[in-house]
Amino acid sequence: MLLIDPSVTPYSSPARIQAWVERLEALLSDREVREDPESVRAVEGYLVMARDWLSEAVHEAVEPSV
Amino acid sequence: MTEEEPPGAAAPFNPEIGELARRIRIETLRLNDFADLNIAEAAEVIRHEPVEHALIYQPSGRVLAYAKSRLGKPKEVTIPMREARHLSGNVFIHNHPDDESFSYQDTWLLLRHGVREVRAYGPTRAFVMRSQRETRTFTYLNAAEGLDALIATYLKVQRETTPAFRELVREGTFSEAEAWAAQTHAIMRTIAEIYAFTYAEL
Repeated sequence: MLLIDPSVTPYSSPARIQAWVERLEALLSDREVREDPESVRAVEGYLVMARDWLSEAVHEAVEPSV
Repeated sequence: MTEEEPPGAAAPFNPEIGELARRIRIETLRLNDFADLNIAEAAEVIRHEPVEHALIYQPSGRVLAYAKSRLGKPKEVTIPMREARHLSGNVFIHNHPDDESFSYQDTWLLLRHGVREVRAYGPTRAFVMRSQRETRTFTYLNAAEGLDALIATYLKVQRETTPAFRELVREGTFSEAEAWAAQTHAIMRTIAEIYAFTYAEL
């Protein structure tokens, strides 16, 4: 059972969030994760969350609020 | 006349060596190192660590399992299956180096794996959640949909609360870490109400 906590936040830079997205994508190929359906679901959930954050962070970088 | 002191006895304290010794000690921690420590004492050992450590305790205070984060991955902890069997009915403690509250995976330990109490200790903040009679729990049969629902709920609350905390970071009221700690605390208050478990900051 792999327990993960986010290593970035919704307010992190796009580059940092992108790095976490890539780490999560890599985890989906990790043998230990693939052997445990709950770990797979958890990582997939974090991926949804991280991609959300990335999209928002990129948007903020292009159009900073005033 | 000054009596000659044994080698090393009068060596001046060097904070760098002290820190190095502490790091070597923490890097080599094993289950047995916690055998004489109660939960509060174990929490003090791990709460300032930059990488995550996890322990399973019996409510009586006997330690059953210890795991630390994967090499080079400070926030990923593997609980081997042989250790996971100890989760049910016991206390799970771990550290959160960034002071944040629980993740949905931590919450799942309570709702699906029968953990009696989950604690997260950061350098300055600590949180606890406890199962109670009314808590919505999940069995093997409804685990998949239960976990999907928990994740969806967590993400929904997280999305709803993010704009306000992002604004606090932008205006300099909170650092990134402080905002995430406060936001996860707010998320967990809502999740605890929905799933009917006890949640508090220690």
